[in-house]
Amino acid sequence: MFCDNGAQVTVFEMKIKKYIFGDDGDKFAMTERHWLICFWLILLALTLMSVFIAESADPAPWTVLFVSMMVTLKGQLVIDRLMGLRHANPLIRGLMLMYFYVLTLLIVWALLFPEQLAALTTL
Amino acid sequence: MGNFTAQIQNAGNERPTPGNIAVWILIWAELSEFALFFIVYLVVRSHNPEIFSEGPKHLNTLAGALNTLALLTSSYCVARAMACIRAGNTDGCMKWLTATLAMGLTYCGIKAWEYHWNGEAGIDSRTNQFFTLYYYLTFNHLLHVLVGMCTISWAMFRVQLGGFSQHQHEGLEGAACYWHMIDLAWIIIFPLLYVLR
Repeated sequence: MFCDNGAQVTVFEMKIKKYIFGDDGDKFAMTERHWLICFWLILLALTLMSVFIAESADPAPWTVLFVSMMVTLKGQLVIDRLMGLRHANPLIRGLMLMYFYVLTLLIVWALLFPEQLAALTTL
Repeated sequence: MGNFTAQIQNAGNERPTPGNIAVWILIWAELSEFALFFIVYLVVRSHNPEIFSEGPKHLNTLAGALNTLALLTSSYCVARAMACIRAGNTDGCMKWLTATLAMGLTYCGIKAWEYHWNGEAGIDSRTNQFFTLYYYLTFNHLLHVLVGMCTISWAMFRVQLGGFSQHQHEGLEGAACYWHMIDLAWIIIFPLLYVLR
């Protein structure tokens, strides 16, 4: 799930390491604890960012898209990093990720084109 | 069922999938229930755009945001508890499970405050369609948090009795996955009810 052996560390993780430790980042072996703290802080930051954007900006298509992107990103982080499905069975992981992708797309469609959904669901 | 479980455990072949097939069926059933209500919400919203655009303005966004932070933190605590049990550190596991329960209680406290705040503002489940769905979704989610807290308490009891170890902790993984599922549902509920207008 969270790798200290270097072999499964992604470019994204290397960037985080570099951001935290600077150019000598490669010399530090981040433990599972470090990664969990990183992803927890990222999740908190994403939440606060979407609340701030939604509260300070007038409702507009870009706020819907931005908040939906944040939702998808948060869902993926929880599924992959906190739940530990990143390297687990692809079927289970795929179904969980699909839930977030499909629902957020549905939310974006329903909020940006409500008249289409209303027409589709009128008896 | 045994074969299928083994397949699920091994097909990924990089790392075993946490929990077992029964837990994942339960999680999918619960997520499908939430998905159904999200769809109902979106359909009703499409027929009543003014009511649903006004609704979030009357909600306590601070309470919703604090609850999001509490649940994300609780998911972090449960992940730390799992890391501890995998390392054979049962004391650490107990500590982080206790923190998870504390975050669950924090969520319940904030939710009680929010409902009281709504009551003071003259809002109840019959105010309009938005608030009917708001109460249905949030109260349903609150019930899941309470069930999750009972599950975590049971897991703590088992850890205390030595029922879970570094090599055998499938039940604890199941409880942890259920708790993460509760967090996942809230990740969608929060923007849908409080943020998107």
